[in-house]
Amino acid sequence: MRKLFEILALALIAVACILPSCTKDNFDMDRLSGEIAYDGSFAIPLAYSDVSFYKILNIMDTSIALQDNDDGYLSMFYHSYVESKRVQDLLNLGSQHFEKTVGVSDMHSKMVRAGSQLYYSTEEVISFTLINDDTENNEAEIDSLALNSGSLDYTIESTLGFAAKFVVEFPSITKGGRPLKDSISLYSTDNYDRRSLSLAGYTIDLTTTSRHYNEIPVKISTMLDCGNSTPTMGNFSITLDIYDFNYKGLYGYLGRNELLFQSDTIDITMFKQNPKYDWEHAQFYFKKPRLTVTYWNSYGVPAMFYFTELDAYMQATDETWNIDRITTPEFPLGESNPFILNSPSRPGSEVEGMVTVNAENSHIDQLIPNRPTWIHFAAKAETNPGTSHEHSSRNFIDGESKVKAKIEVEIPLYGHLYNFVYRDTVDVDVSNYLGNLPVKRMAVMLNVRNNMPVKANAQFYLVDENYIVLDSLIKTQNSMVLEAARVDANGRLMTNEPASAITKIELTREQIEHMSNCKHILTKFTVNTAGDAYGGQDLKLYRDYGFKANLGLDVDLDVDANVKNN
Amino acid sequence: MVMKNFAIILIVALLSLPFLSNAQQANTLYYMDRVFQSQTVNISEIPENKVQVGGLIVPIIGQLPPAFYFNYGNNSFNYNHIIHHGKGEMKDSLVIDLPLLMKKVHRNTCIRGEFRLDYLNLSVRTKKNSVITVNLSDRFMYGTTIPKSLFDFFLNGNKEYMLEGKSHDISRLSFGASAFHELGVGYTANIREKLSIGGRVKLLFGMADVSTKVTSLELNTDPEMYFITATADMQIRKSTGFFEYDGEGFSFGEGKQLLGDLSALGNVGLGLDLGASYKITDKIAVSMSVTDLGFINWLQNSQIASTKGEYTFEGVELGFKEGEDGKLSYGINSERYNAEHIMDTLVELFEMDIRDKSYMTWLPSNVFVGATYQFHEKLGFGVLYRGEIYRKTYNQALSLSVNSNLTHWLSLHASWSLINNTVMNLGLGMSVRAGFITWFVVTDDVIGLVFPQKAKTVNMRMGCNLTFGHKKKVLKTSTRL
Repeated sequence: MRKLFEILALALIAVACILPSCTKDNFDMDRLSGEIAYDGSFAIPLAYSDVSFYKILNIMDTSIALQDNDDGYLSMFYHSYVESKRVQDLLNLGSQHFEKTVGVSDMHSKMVRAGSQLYYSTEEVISFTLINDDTENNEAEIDSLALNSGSLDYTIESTLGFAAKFVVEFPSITKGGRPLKDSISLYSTDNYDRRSLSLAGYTIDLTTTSRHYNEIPVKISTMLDCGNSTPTMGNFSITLDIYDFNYKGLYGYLGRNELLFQSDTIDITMFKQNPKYDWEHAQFYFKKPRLTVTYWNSYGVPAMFYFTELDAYMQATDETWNIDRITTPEFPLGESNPFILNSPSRPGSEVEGMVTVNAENSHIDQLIPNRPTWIHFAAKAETNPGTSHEHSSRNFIDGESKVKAKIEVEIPLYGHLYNFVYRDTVDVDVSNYLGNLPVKRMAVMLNVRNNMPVKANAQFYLVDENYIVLDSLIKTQNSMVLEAARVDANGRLMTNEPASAITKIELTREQIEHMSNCKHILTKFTVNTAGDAYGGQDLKLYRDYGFKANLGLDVDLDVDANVKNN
Repeated sequence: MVMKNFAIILIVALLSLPFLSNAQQANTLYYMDRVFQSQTVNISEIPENKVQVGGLIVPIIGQLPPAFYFNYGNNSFNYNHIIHHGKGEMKDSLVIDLPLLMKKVHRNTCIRGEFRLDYLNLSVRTKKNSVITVNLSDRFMYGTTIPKSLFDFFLNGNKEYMLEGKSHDISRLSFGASAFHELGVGYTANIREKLSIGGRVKLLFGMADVSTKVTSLELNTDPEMYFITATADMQIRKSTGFFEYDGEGFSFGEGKQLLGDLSALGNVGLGLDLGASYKITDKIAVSMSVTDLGFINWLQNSQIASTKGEYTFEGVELGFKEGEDGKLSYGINSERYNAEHIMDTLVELFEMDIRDKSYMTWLPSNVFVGATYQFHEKLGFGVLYRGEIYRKTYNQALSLSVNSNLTHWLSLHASWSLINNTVMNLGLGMSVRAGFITWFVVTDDVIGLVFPQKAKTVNMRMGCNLTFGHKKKVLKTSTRL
């Protein structure tokens, strides 16, 4: 029995030793070679894409605001905004100052005694001036102000030699119906004191004086505690400063003020030189282009708007056109030909207006075929055009009043196109997927359903990491032809009738080898609407236009017989 | 490098995932009458000792060696059927041989696994020569069935089927992995002089489950556009807090969700083992048993994703995407196809209806039919047939064994089996008693343990029991009664 145990023990030890040595090699993945015995044949759908035309346009030109226009099809919009300054900055109330000195002799004439106290009072007027910082125009006639905030400081200085109380009252500066009133008391040994008051929430009526505008009355009262004596020398003076105005409403006549004077450039990047597309060899015509100026005015002031400069630059010909070559007399170009902006009837509202230059009132349609790359303009707006310096014209503004204008170039996608070339790269690292596969044979299936009324010739290039073309995909023809989808009499796509094309491309050995270095696929489309360069059929492009493409692969993988071990 | 990675993934997918094996594949254990764990496959056996205790719960002894069982089975191929040494100049290298794999693949490749930890095994014999047994165990079971046409699809390609206008029918595809606690109480009795019968009722508490229920699944390739259309009527079911679908996508839980699964008691199931043994003569006996007849009703964190209809894959989507700078670019939507979102993409592709709903799974059940012949006082022969019913598949095995209770403290067992379509299965078993401690180890395929690269079956069971009240001299190899 002992012997049996020994045999068993030896057998177990032998097994324990043999196990790792026999198995180790089989599981050593460092020994795994790249050789593979494999003979699969696959027909697989690689990719699909449902491409909307408007998204292609967005990629071509990221600055386009592409929108459905009033007629339902797409328009490209390029625009720029100009707007006036903040009204508080434009019509700055600044700091209003008043000072008055009353001597003993002036006081004697109006003093009233009551026991040991002498009383004196006087009524004064603070003149109020509104200044336009840009024009230094001070012709504004203000009726009233409603304040969000403001400050009033006043100082009393006395050399009368008696204890005194000074009261200042502003009957036309009210809050909740109560006038603003404040006082300063001085001891006989004091001769100076200063007070600061907040004007937040106050309303100032500037019409209570005989002038009826731009004046604030102030009543100053003094009580001298002088016993039986009477002051014989000295005086007292008052200094008033009203400043840091922030108004929520201002009424009156504002005079002539320059609301804005700005210049800007609208880039029409579509026509700039771009490696992705080629307009130079293309013939095209866009119908119904237009230039529109839309304004919004929340000043309760009549105003005028006009361009002082308006020109377009054509990069292709290095020409600059003054836009008056294409505009009509109705277009607000020059101070003598302004566009009058309507004004709102109540504070807090705004009015909108528009002036349009189109193919019917100008020759703007001749500008677009010349591929303008930018339109430059300078615009100006002024208040109260044609009014004289008088109080009869009533204006109002609120704290947020503004004049704003949008200058917009619209190019509707309506017209025809011939020989337009569009190129782009798709970042698909083909080498990563196919580079090391033992490909014996390969064919690419490409199916495109064209939902656009344009014909396109497509070609695909295999390019390496430096975008150097290695090969083209389509060899049998120069390119793949995608026929245009049919449209009805209204130019709308006929439903359920997309043009479809299936192409199966059998790849050559050379093309397959080029796949192993292919990092991107370069696509090239040459696009035409129906007709030729000189008489194409005009088409409208809608948002739902586009195409759907399917890419499939038919591949036979190679077999390495050396590794077979049946 | 791509192919190398592909190969490693393939191997991991085909071999490593089912790191365990066929449910209750214990053909050698069946006749180890001195190891009362043989009752797990034949409840009608009456152990010779009055009291036996085993399992991890037994201090020190219970962990030396740990009371566990694992099993891996693959009825089609082994590791060397995918990767092996090349020939000629390639003899020192490993090569991937997919045509060989295809040659070895059966109509349905069944990969099964089980891992079992016994915390407590208790057997008490009564005066009436009947036995009461109790067991407390944790079990993890894995099973997948892969139809050959799916291998065809991925390895040979779909083109041949496409040109012939045929479908890849993969309706037999199934996957299931579940873990559960088992509390079993059994009773075995000699009801007649030559006949003993036994039964065990098992209360099951499911921890976690992921499984499929495929009614039909076919893949068709369109010969013109190469679109691949799946015609499916199937469900994917899960009961675990480890991942969740909340309508917006999949999210994975953390460790505490996994701990929650381990302590789950809400997924209740019931199992039943039945067995009978009959002694025809003094030397010949026959037996039959059925194990793991049962089910688990999965309630906790359970979701069912159902799909029924036709779904077409047209390829990956190329489209416009907006960059961080707001600019559009054109290309593959890589986010949609990365590993994190692939499940969401599949849910979208198959238009899956995902609902919080309970479901039931059946346990893989086994049928054993055996006979023994007592050739000599210390030597007996056995034959055993085993059939496994799991979902839509039925796997069979046949074993011939030599069993010897050599001394009153040593028994040795050897078997030769046809398992997983191969006869290269040499089983060995041994039990050794020292005082009141009995140590045992058994495997149905020792070759698989030595040469795992050649193995379709790898299994092992071991443990240590405390045995009390054994007969002084039992030398005769049992004929069950």
